[in-house]
Amino acid sequence: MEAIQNHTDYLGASASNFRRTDPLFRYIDGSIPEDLKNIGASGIATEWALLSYFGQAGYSYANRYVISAAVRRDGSSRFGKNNRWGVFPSISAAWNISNERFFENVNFISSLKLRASWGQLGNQEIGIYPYSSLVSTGDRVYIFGDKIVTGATIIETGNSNIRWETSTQTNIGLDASFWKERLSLTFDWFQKQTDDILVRVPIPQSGGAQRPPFINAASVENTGIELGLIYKNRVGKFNYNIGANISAIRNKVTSIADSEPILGGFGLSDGPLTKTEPGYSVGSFFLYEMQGIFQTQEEIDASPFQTKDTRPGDVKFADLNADNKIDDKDRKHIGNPFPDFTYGVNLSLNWKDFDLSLLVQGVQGNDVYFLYGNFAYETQLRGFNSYAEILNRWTPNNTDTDIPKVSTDDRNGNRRPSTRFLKDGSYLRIRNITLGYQLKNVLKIKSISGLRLYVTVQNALTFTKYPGLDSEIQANANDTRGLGLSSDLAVGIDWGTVPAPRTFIAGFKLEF
Amino acid sequence: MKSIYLFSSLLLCSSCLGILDKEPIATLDTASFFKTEDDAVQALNAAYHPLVFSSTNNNFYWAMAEVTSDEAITGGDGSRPGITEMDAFTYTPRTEEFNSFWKLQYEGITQCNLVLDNVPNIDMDKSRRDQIIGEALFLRSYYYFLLVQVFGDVPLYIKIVPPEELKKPRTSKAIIYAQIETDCERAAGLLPDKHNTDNLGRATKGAALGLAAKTFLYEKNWGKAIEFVTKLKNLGIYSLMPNYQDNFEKNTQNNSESVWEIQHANFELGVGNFLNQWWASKKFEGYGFAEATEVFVNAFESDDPRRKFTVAMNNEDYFGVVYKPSFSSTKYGVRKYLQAKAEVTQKADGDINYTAIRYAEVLLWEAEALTELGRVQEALMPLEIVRARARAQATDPLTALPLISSTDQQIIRDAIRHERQVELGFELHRFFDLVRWGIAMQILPEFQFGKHEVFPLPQTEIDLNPALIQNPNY
Repeated sequence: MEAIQNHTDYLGASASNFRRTDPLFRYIDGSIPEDLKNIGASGIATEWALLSYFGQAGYSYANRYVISAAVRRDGSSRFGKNNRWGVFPSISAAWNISNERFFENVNFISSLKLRASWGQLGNQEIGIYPYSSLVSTGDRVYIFGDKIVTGATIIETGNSNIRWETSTQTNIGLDASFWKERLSLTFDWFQKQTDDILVRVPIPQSGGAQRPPFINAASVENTGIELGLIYKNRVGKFNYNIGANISAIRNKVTSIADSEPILGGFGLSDGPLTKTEPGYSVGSFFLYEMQGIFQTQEEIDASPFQTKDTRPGDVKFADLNADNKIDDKDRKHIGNPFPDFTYGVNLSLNWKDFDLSLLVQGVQGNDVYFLYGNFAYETQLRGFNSYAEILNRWTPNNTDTDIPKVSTDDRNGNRRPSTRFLKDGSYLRIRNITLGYQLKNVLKIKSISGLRLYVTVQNALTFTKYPGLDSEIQANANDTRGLGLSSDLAVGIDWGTVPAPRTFIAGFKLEF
Repeated sequence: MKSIYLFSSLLLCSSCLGILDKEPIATLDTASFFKTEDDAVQALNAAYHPLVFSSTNNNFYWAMAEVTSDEAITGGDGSRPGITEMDAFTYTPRTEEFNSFWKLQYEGITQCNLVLDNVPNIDMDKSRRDQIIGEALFLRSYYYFLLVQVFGDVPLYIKIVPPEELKKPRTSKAIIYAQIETDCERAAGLLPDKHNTDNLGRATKGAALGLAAKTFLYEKNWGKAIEFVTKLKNLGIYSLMPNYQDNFEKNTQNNSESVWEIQHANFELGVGNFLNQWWASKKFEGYGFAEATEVFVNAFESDDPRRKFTVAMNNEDYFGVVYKPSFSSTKYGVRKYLQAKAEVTQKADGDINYTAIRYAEVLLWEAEALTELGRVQEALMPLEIVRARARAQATDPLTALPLISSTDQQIIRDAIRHERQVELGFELHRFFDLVRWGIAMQILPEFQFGKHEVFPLPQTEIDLNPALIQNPNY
């Protein structure tokens, strides 16, 4: 049994307008508060608890067959009284094939193990009081009689009906090594079904400004494989070690709780960028399709109606439902932020006193919505700091381009969420290269046993066609409605991420 | 060779179960809130916030009323593409300003519903509670009125509903108007005529009667409009200020002419008036988002003093500097809601209020409704009161703004429409007046009949609430 009770107390005080700023006077009492604005204090406490019961049983025979089973029952303070408890069983089995008698004569295989497991786990990471509708007080809201007054608003809608999010994972794996463990291999196939996914689903804005409640919104299935290989060898004074791994995961929504799809990625008031519904991945991009750039008025007249202000140089969108006009029904699932596969290679070499290591990492086949393109290739939102490519915009004399004409008001809706801004986010990055040299017995000082000199380059090179600053985007803000929503519904959206820096490090390491 | 292990902790710990009961600490929730009078007041206060033209509210109602109309064009630096689109009637459901306006009004409505759902159950002084309910009813009506002006039919919620019930279709304009009228009438019975100094700016009986009158006017229910104007006049507390400009200056706010006045203050606390920067000339630390048109300037009769209180032009004083035609692409700049640089610490945080219902307008409603009922002779009196105040401020009151004495319905109808234009210029009425009178198409070249009477519902909201159907032709 385990009971976790977390109680956090926070108390803070601040003061400004200090009589002196040197460290000796950096104490609250060192200030001369002339005004209420110069002092401040704050304090809050939070509490949550988790109560768990476990049971576990195991059996192993001749170091060949291993089987174990466990069950846990978790109770969380974060759910309403009727939905507090979740039961999560798991079972696993392994067969050490290489320990079987019939395997004794197979020399090139050093070890071979087959694994299988099935288990369930719960998730309750949804804030501390998700069942409550929280009220914020003391916000300055209005003026009466030339004096400011404060007000109270609901900032978050609670949902007392939510229950544990449960993932059920089935895993089959193989561990093997060959030639006296010179080559080792790990392979896994897994299927993870996550039910009752806890997520804040955006609600109509006519419900006010509060954060929407968490709901058990959907079931999602992730199926994937992971393969890892390590080869190590030594040739004279040359030692080397090569590792490689690759994984591929398919993500698919299998059902949703509400009858309506879940929308996400409210970028720039253009409507959502993603739509989550059965049959597609979570946060699947739902966009208009850009077909090209209108070159002539005749072409516009012959195409499905977009807007009355559509002119040559504007983006031509596809009439997906073939009703001869372009409207919000001409959007479709078109890409998702999940890669086809991710991979990595690491290499380390040793020759005499030199060592070299290299880490390469890559992602292939993910889509990124380049939201920042609204600023990079357009001028309406901000008429400066555009990308230099905007010089290649469409003009009557520069027609062979995919950048539409520049306008102060986007009458054709060239900025609307479309494949125009959907980019291939694949990249290969040399994340780290280190070259080192071990100096031995150079310094004739007894207490120093070794000295190593090294140079490292982090993020040395990136190979990508992605036009943004960094295809390895960090932010996943779900919308701009000030609700602080950040979720899986809007993962692959690039708001203009600060790129990972390329870092050069030269150093030495002394060993005493 | 064999090993078996088994362990279990399936011992029940009944005393531990209690640790799972956690109540929010130092954080109010709807269960612990709404217990006291102070809670009620706090919730009500927040319902006022969406009114202000602050830097954070993104309240572009003014652009829908002015930049679209013949009073103003947008100058500016193009940093607000939506305003440029409104000027050219090229806006779309994706235009950001409609979405932020939609959100803002419904924030106000939700807050009012929160008050109306909970305050009746608070054990507190009855008259105080009645007043709070009255204010919330009035505010909710005001937000719905603006929504209907801008979008036409919108979903009507008169209580807090669970998130899944928010997805409902639009309610017809007629039903919302009826709700506004009922609520305003009820609010008028609960609200005081006046507030003490500390509560200046709260909704009053007059505000509720005024909004009801305006709603009837929009419905062309002239008789009811007159009835509510009469009730308002019978309160005996409203009169025109001797000086027209007193309605737009810092030290003469909340005056006897103010029926419903939205308060602003330069405290740098998010309640300042951004119009002071949005409308100011780019040469005067402003954005120049609304520049007065020549058509509007020419609409004033000669020697109408209201022209110079509304619009600045060549060599006139412009808050301490000399106005030059280069200050605006039209050569004319707006004066209302702007103020001298020294009066505020930040340009975007002005402290001039916006009087949404001014007694002069109430008189013009009365004149309009009487005229439409054919009682033209009676309409002349309220019209004359408005003109007389302006006339007294003219250079030559003997010749300026002559008395109107015709009894021809069409002539008087036009005279009243003209009077609204010059009396209420830049007070966020013009576009909605042109639509209501059915003459927008004649006056605004880009205006399409059957489309531009209402603005498009925001695309974001249509996506979030599939029960909504877009306005025609968007």
